[in-house]
Amino acid sequence: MSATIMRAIGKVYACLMIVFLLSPLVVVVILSFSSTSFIAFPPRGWSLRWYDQLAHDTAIRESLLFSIEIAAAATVLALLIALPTAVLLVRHHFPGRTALRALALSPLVLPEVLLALALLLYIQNGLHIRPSVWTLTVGHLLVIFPFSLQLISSAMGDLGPELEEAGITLGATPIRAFWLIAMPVMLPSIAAAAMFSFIFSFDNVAISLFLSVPGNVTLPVRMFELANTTNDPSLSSISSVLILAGAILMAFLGRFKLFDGVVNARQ
Amino acid sequence: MATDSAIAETARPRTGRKLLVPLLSLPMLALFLPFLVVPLLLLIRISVGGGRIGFDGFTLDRFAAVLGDTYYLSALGITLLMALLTAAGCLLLSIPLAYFMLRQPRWRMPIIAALIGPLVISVVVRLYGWQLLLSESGPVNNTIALLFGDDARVMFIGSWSGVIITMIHTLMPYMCIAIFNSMQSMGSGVTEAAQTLGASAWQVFLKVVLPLAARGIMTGTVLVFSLSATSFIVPAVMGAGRVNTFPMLIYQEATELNFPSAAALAVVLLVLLLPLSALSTRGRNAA
Repeated sequence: MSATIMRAIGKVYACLMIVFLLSPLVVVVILSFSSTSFIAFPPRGWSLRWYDQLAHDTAIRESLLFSIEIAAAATVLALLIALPTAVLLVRHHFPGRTALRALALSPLVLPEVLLALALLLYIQNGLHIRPSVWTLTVGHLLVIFPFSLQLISSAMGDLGPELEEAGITLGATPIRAFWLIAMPVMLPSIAAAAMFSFIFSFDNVAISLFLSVPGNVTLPVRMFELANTTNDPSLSSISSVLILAGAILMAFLGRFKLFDGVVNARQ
Repeated sequence: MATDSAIAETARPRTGRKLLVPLLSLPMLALFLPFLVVPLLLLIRISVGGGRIGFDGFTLDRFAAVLGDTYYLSALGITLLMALLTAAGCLLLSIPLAYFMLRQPRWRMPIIAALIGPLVISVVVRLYGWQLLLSESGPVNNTIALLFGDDARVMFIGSWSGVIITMIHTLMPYMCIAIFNSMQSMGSGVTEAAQTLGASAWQVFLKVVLPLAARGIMTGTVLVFSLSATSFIVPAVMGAGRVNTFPMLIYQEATELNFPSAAALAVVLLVLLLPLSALSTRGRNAA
């Protein structure tokens, strides 16, 4: 009897926690269909006016495209650098390996504000250049690199060197063996690494805020500024679009059993 | 001659391997040395340098100013207290939820989806949602007014309560997944054995599950504490300029172009949190 009560309490608690976790997203989606220019719950009427406004908002569209550009560039670079680094850290034992690994993962433990400030000071007072698309991309690259490295390294660790060694014994060069044997097997993990790198770059606020490029603002920074200044539902439509993109992504991640990647990349 | 060529055959891959390590480390070092190591050294240099940009001479004045000023010290204390409360809140909410996930496998997927879903959506969107939920005429305050009358409305935005609630929401997934992973790694056999031997569900939880989940609790707590103490987006949006945490002071000093002071504050934050991070990395490596 008490076991059934405990189980019922557990289910109620789990439902409450799911509501707690999802409520800030649900409330944004509801508001985006509001017809009033002030914020009210529940909305006094329904309309698509905030989506109509979004469709004509060139500033938001430019920010969105700019964010996609930066995230795509940072992701490609992160993968290109993470792949040889993963080979090095997983397959080779050499003096200084632990130190190199700690350095590669250090952006995870360094406060983001500190990293952003250090980069800004370096660009301004060390290199004496203006913040540009390139310096912003490098900032994002540093932040997302550990996630790419963790995901690719763990895939490489799971694969083990045996198959490639067999290929080499049968006459393939190490590069050919890696390309023909390891790469196809690791492709899903590399795709996951690319996806998470893109998301974490696309969502980054701290680095983008410190290294902001004159004339170009990333979408999260523009939304961050609007969230502090506006008092109408205009932010709700673009937010709902991002929530929809997140939901599609979650369906995809669930389909390929990749939920772990989101959290485990950080741990 | 035959032996010579045989030696050459075996020696060649070995020299190739020797070259391989520097070659493979080159891309990573080309990124990290100029764009992480040098900037960090420069930041430390600027924090102890005299002059306006901090390249002249050596001075500890800025650290003395930070550690002798009650404004900075109280911001530091409040930041650490807030991080502690956030970690405690995440812990209290996560332990029962992780245990429920362990006992009810069919509920795992929906709960994990609810935990992870918000993480793939921009933090700014989540904060906007909390601004709406917690505003003076938002759903939360409307419910409070309905239950306790209009005077009971709480000013969440621009106060510590709003910042901490939002911080708990943002960081709880890390805590819950860490605890669930460590609970799961002990296998269901242990809890079943305890039950077979006559322990009640409560006893199983207190005497078997909780001690075995200690590593996950430790990892999650350290992670949430340090992420909370270094976040400036959450207090910046939810604090509405009235809640000054240490990372926000760094941002403010930087926007006011007081770069040496910002650098000194950042170094203080790093020195305070680095031992903790090292601890959690060691825990992660051991796990």
